[in-house]
Amino acid sequence: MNSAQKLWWEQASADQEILELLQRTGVADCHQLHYLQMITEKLAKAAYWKDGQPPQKSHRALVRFLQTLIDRRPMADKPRVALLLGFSSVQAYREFLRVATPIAYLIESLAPAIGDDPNPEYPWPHETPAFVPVDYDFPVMQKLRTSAGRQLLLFLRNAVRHFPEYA
Amino acid sequence: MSTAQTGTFNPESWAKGYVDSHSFSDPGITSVYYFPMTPPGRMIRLLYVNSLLPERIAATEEPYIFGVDRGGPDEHEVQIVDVTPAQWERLQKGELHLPTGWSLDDAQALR
Repeated sequence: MNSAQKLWWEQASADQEILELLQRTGVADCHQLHYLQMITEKLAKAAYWKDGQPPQKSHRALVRFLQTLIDRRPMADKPRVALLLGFSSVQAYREFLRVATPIAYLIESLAPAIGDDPNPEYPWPHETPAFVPVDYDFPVMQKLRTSAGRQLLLFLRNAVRHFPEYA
Repeated sequence: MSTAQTGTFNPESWAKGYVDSHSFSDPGITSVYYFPMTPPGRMIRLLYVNSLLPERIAATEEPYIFGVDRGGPDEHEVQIVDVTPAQWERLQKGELHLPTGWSLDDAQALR
Protein backbone atom coordinates (compact mmCIF):
# COMPACT_ATOMS: atom_id res chain seq x y z
CA MET A 1 0.00 0.00 0.00
CA ASN A 2 1.52 3.32 -1.04
CA SER A 3 1.04 6.62 0.81
CA ALA A 4 -1.83 7.84 -1.41
CA GLN A 5 -3.65 4.54 -1.01
CA LYS A 6 -3.23 4.76 2.74
CA LEU A 7 -4.82 8.20 2.88
CA TRP A 8 -7.85 7.16 0.82
CA TRP A 9 -8.21 3.94 2.81
CA GLU A 10 -8.03 5.75 6.16
CA GLN A 11 -10.87 8.02 5.15
CA ALA A 12 -12.93 5.09 3.83
CA SER A 13 -12.38 3.30 7.17
CA ALA A 14 -13.46 6.35 9.15
CA ASP A 15 -16.58 6.71 7.00
CA GLN A 16 -17.36 3.01 7.45
CA GLU A 17 -17.42 3.45 11.23
CA ILE A 18 -19.94 6.27 10.85
CA LEU A 19 -22.09 4.21 8.48
CA GLU A 20 -22.31 1.41 11.02
CA LEU A 21 -23.35 3.89 13.69
CA LEU A 22 -26.01 5.29 11.38
CA GLN A 23 -27.30 1.82 10.52
CA ARG A 24 -27.60 0.84 14.16
CA THR A 25 -29.47 3.98 15.12
CA GLY A 26 -31.88 3.74 12.20
CA VAL A 27 -31.55 7.29 10.92
CA ALA A 28 -33.15 8.30 7.62
CA ASP A 29 -32.09 6.24 4.62
CA CYS A 30 -30.51 9.22 2.86
CA HIS A 31 -27.85 9.59 5.55
CA GLN A 32 -26.91 5.93 5.38
CA LEU A 33 -26.81 6.00 1.59
CA HIS A 34 -24.71 9.15 1.57
CA TYR A 35 -22.03 7.46 3.64
CA LEU A 36 -22.31 4.21 1.75
CA GLN A 37 -21.74 5.97 -1.57
CA MET A 38 -18.75 7.87 -0.18
CA ILE A 39 -17.16 4.74 1.30
CA THR A 40 -17.41 2.83 -1.95
CA GLU A 41 -15.95 5.69 -3.95
CA LYS A 42 -13.04 6.16 -1.55
CA LEU A 43 -12.33 2.45 -1.30
CA ALA A 44 -12.26 2.15 -5.08
CA LYS A 45 -10.01 5.18 -5.41
CA ALA A 46 -7.68 3.77 -2.78
CA ALA A 47 -7.38 0.71 -5.01
CA TYR A 48 -6.93 2.77 -8.18
CA TRP A 49 -3.95 4.61 -6.63
CA LYS A 50 -2.04 1.32 -6.76
CA ASP A 51 0.06 2.50 -9.71
CA GLY A 52 0.90 5.78 -7.98
CA GLN A 53 -1.15 7.78 -10.48
CA PRO A 54 -4.29 9.76 -9.59
CA PRO A 55 -7.48 8.03 -10.70
CA GLN A 56 -10.09 9.70 -12.88
CA LYS A 57 -12.26 12.30 -11.17
CA SER A 58 -15.41 10.24 -11.41
CA HIS A 59 -18.01 9.15 -8.92
CA ARG A 60 -18.52 5.94 -10.88
CA ALA A 61 -15.98 3.71 -9.24
CA LEU A 62 -17.64 0.85 -7.36
CA VAL A 63 -18.69 -1.43 -10.20
CA ARG A 64 -15.27 -1.31 -11.82
CA PHE A 65 -13.64 -1.87 -8.44
CA LEU A 66 -15.69 -5.01 -7.88
CA GLN A 67 -15.07 -6.29 -11.38
CA THR A 68 -11.31 -5.77 -11.31
CA LEU A 69 -10.63 -6.58 -7.68
CA ILE A 70 -9.70 -10.17 -8.43
CA ASP A 71 -9.53 -10.42 -12.20
CA ARG A 72 -6.60 -8.02 -12.60
CA ARG A 73 -4.38 -9.96 -10.24
CA PRO A 74 -1.83 -12.62 -11.09
CA MET A 75 -3.51 -16.01 -11.34
CA ALA A 76 -1.75 -17.33 -8.26
CA ASP A 77 -2.99 -14.43 -6.09
CA LYS A 78 -6.70 -14.66 -7.00
CA PRO A 79 -7.68 -17.47 -4.59
CA ARG A 80 -5.89 -15.71 -1.71
CA VAL A 81 -7.86 -12.49 -2.20
CA ALA A 82 -11.13 -14.34 -2.69
CA LEU A 83 -10.51 -16.19 0.56
CA LEU A 84 -9.49 -12.98 2.34
CA LEU A 85 -12.81 -11.41 1.40
CA GLY A 86 -14.81 -14.39 2.58
CA PHE A 87 -15.31 -16.47 -0.55
CA SER A 88 -14.47 -20.12 -0.81
CA SER A 89 -13.20 -19.72 -4.37
CA VAL A 90 -12.75 -17.26 -7.21
CA GLN A 91 -15.87 -18.78 -8.78
CA ALA A 92 -17.85 -18.00 -5.61
CA TYR A 93 -16.70 -14.38 -5.85
CA ARG A 94 -17.88 -14.27 -9.46
CA GLU A 95 -21.28 -15.61 -8.40
CA PHE A 96 -21.41 -12.88 -5.77
CA LEU A 97 -20.62 -10.31 -8.47
CA ARG A 98 -23.54 -11.53 -10.53
CA VAL A 99 -26.02 -10.66 -7.78
CA ALA A 100 -24.16 -7.67 -6.33
CA THR A 101 -23.31 -5.70 -9.46
CA PRO A 102 -26.84 -4.39 -10.15
CA ILE A 103 -27.01 -3.09 -6.58
CA ALA A 104 -23.50 -1.64 -6.82
CA TYR A 105 -24.56 0.23 -9.92
CA LEU A 106 -27.47 1.78 -8.01
CA ILE A 107 -25.09 2.80 -5.20
CA GLU A 108 -22.65 4.57 -7.47
CA SER A 109 -25.56 6.29 -9.21
CA LEU A 110 -26.42 8.01 -5.93
CA ALA A 111 -23.66 10.60 -6.29
CA PRO A 112 -25.28 14.00 -6.93
CA ALA A 113 -22.88 14.80 -9.77
CA ILE A 114 -24.04 11.80 -11.77
CA GLY A 115 -27.24 13.46 -12.92
CA ASP A 116 -30.41 15.25 -11.98
CA ASP A 117 -31.79 12.14 -10.33
CA PRO A 118 -32.56 11.10 -6.75
CA ASN A 119 -29.52 11.51 -4.53
CA PRO A 120 -29.01 11.37 -0.76
CA GLU A 121 -27.65 14.91 -0.35
CA TYR A 122 -29.59 17.63 -2.15
CA PRO A 123 -33.18 18.35 -3.22
CA TRP A 124 -33.77 17.66 -6.92
CA PRO A 125 -34.21 18.41 -9.81
CA HIS A 126 -31.66 21.18 -9.62
CA GLU A 127 -33.66 23.73 -11.62
CA THR A 128 -37.06 22.93 -10.15
CA PRO A 129 -36.65 21.22 -6.75
CA ALA A 130 -39.55 18.91 -6.04
CA PHE A 131 -38.05 16.15 -3.87
CA VAL A 132 -36.02 16.10 -0.67
CA PRO A 133 -33.69 13.20 0.21
CA VAL A 134 -34.77 12.87 3.84
CA ASP A 135 -38.36 12.00 2.82
CA TYR A 136 -37.56 9.96 -0.26
CA ASP A 137 -38.05 6.20 -0.49
CA PHE A 138 -34.86 5.19 -2.32
CA PRO A 139 -35.34 2.04 -4.43
CA VAL A 140 -31.78 0.97 -3.67
CA MET A 141 -32.70 0.57 0.01
CA GLN A 142 -35.17 -2.16 -0.93
CA LYS A 143 -32.34 -3.95 -2.73
CA LEU A 144 -29.98 -3.51 0.21
CA ARG A 145 -32.55 -5.14 2.48
CA THR A 146 -32.42 -8.38 0.52
CA SER A 147 -29.94 -11.13 1.29
CA ALA A 148 -27.85 -10.06 -1.70
CA GLY A 149 -27.85 -6.48 -0.46
CA ARG A 150 -26.79 -7.50 3.02
CA GLN A 151 -24.04 -9.65 1.53
CA LEU A 152 -22.80 -6.66 -0.44
CA LEU A 153 -22.78 -4.47 2.68
CA LEU A 154 -20.89 -7.07 4.67
CA PHE A 155 -18.51 -7.59 1.77
CA LEU A 156 -17.78 -3.86 1.65
CA ARG A 157 -17.13 -3.82 5.38
CA ASN A 158 -14.60 -6.63 4.91
CA ALA A 159 -13.12 -5.01 1.84
CA VAL A 160 -12.41 -1.86 3.83
CA ARG A 161 -11.13 -3.78 6.84
CA HIS A 162 -8.75 -5.98 4.84
CA PHE A 163 -7.65 -3.41 2.26
CA PRO A 164 -3.98 -3.33 3.40
CA GLU A 165 -3.81 -7.08 2.76
CA TYR A 166 -4.80 -6.88 -0.91
CA ALA A 167 -4.07 -3.26 -1.89
CA MET B 1 -39.04 -0.77 6.90
CA SER B 2 -42.79 -1.22 6.85
CA THR B 3 -43.79 -3.95 9.24
CA ALA B 4 -45.73 -4.71 12.40
CA GLN B 5 -47.60 -2.38 14.64
CA THR B 6 -47.06 0.26 17.25
CA GLY B 7 -47.98 0.02 20.94
CA THR B 8 -46.52 -2.51 23.34
CA PHE B 9 -43.37 -3.75 21.68
CA ASN B 10 -43.71 -7.37 20.67
CA PRO B 11 -40.45 -8.72 19.21
CA GLU B 12 -41.95 -11.93 17.87
CA SER B 13 -44.65 -10.04 16.01
CA TRP B 14 -42.03 -7.75 14.49
CA ALA B 15 -39.88 -10.74 13.61
CA LYS B 16 -42.75 -12.33 11.71
CA GLY B 17 -43.35 -9.04 9.95
CA TYR B 18 -39.74 -8.92 8.78
CA VAL B 19 -39.87 -12.50 7.60
CA ASP B 20 -43.02 -11.87 5.56
CA SER B 21 -41.52 -8.74 4.05
CA HIS B 22 -38.11 -10.22 3.30
CA SER B 23 -39.49 -13.50 1.97
CA PHE B 24 -41.67 -11.57 -0.46
CA SER B 25 -38.69 -9.66 -1.87
CA ASP B 26 -36.18 -12.51 -1.65
CA PRO B 27 -37.22 -15.64 -3.55
CA GLY B 28 -34.07 -17.51 -2.49
CA ILE B 29 -35.09 -17.72 1.17
CA THR B 30 -36.00 -21.32 1.92
CA SER B 31 -36.24 -21.23 5.71
CA VAL B 32 -36.02 -18.73 8.53
CA TYR B 33 -35.06 -19.10 12.18
CA TYR B 34 -35.84 -16.68 14.96
CA PHE B 35 -33.56 -16.49 18.00
CA PRO B 36 -35.58 -14.90 20.82
CA MET B 37 -33.82 -13.03 23.58
CA THR B 38 -34.07 -14.16 27.19
CA PRO B 39 -35.42 -12.06 28.80
CA PRO B 40 -37.21 -10.46 25.85
CA GLY B 41 -35.46 -7.31 24.78
CA ARG B 42 -35.48 -4.86 21.94
CA MET B 43 -33.30 -6.94 19.69
CA ILE B 44 -34.59 -9.23 16.96
CA ARG B 45 -32.26 -11.95 15.72
CA LEU B 46 -33.03 -13.78 12.49
CA LEU B 47 -31.22 -16.33 10.37
CA TYR B 48 -32.19 -16.74 6.73
CA VAL B 49 -31.25 -19.81 4.72
CA ASN B 50 -30.99 -18.62 1.14
CA SER B 51 -30.42 -20.97 -1.80
CA LEU B 52 -29.47 -18.14 -4.16
CA LEU B 53 -26.47 -16.88 -2.20
CA PRO B 54 -22.95 -17.62 -3.40
CA GLU B 55 -20.99 -19.97 -1.18
CA ARG B 56 -19.07 -18.06 1.47
CA ILE B 57 -16.80 -18.99 4.29
CA ALA B 58 -16.95 -17.93 7.92
CA ALA B 59 -19.62 -15.37 7.14
CA THR B 60 -21.97 -16.82 9.72
CA GLU B 61 -20.56 -15.09 12.78
CA GLU B 62 -21.12 -11.52 11.71
CA PRO B 63 -24.73 -10.36 11.50
CA TYR B 64 -25.95 -7.42 9.49
CA ILE B 65 -27.35 -4.95 12.05
CA PHE B 66 -29.82 -2.12 11.65
CA GLY B 67 -31.92 0.01 13.95
CA VAL B 68 -35.61 0.85 13.65
CA ASP B 69 -37.88 3.58 15.03
CA ARG B 70 -35.17 5.35 17.01
CA GLY B 71 -36.73 7.20 19.94
CA GLY B 72 -40.15 5.78 19.14
CA PRO B 73 -42.32 3.27 21.00
CA ASP B 74 -41.13 0.41 18.81
CA GLU B 75 -37.42 1.23 18.88
CA HIS B 76 -35.39 -1.92 18.33
CA GLU B 77 -32.36 -3.41 16.66
CA VAL B 78 -32.46 -6.17 14.06
CA GLN B 79 -29.63 -8.62 13.51
CA ILE B 80 -29.72 -10.84 10.44
CA VAL B 81 -27.43 -13.64 9.37
CA ASP B 82 -27.79 -14.91 5.80
CA VAL B 83 -26.45 -18.39 5.10
CA THR B 84 -26.47 -20.85 2.24
CA PRO B 85 -28.09 -24.28 2.72
CA ALA B 86 -24.58 -25.80 2.95
CA GLN B 87 -23.61 -23.33 5.66
CA TRP B 88 -26.81 -24.11 7.56
CA GLU B 89 -25.88 -27.80 7.53
CA ARG B 90 -22.40 -27.01 8.78
CA LEU B 91 -23.81 -24.79 11.52
CA GLN B 92 -25.97 -27.66 12.71
CA LYS B 93 -22.94 -29.96 12.75
CA GLY B 94 -20.97 -27.43 14.76
CA GLU B 95 -18.47 -26.85 11.96
CA LEU B 96 -19.43 -23.17 11.72
CA HIS B 97 -20.47 -20.78 14.45
CA LEU B 98 -23.28 -18.33 15.03
CA PRO B 99 -22.67 -14.78 16.28
CA THR B 100 -21.75 -14.39 19.93
CA GLY B 101 -24.79 -14.88 22.14
CA TRP B 102 -26.79 -16.86 19.58
CA SER B 103 -27.55 -20.53 20.24
CA LEU B 104 -29.08 -23.16 17.96
CA ASP B 105 -30.95 -24.41 21.01
CA ASP B 106 -33.02 -21.22 20.92
CA ALA B 107 -33.78 -21.31 17.20
CA GLN B 108 -37.46 -21.22 16.31
CA ALA B 109 -38.44 -21.99 12.73
CA LEU B 110 -40.63 -19.24 11.33
CA ARG B 111 -40.72 -20.60 7.83
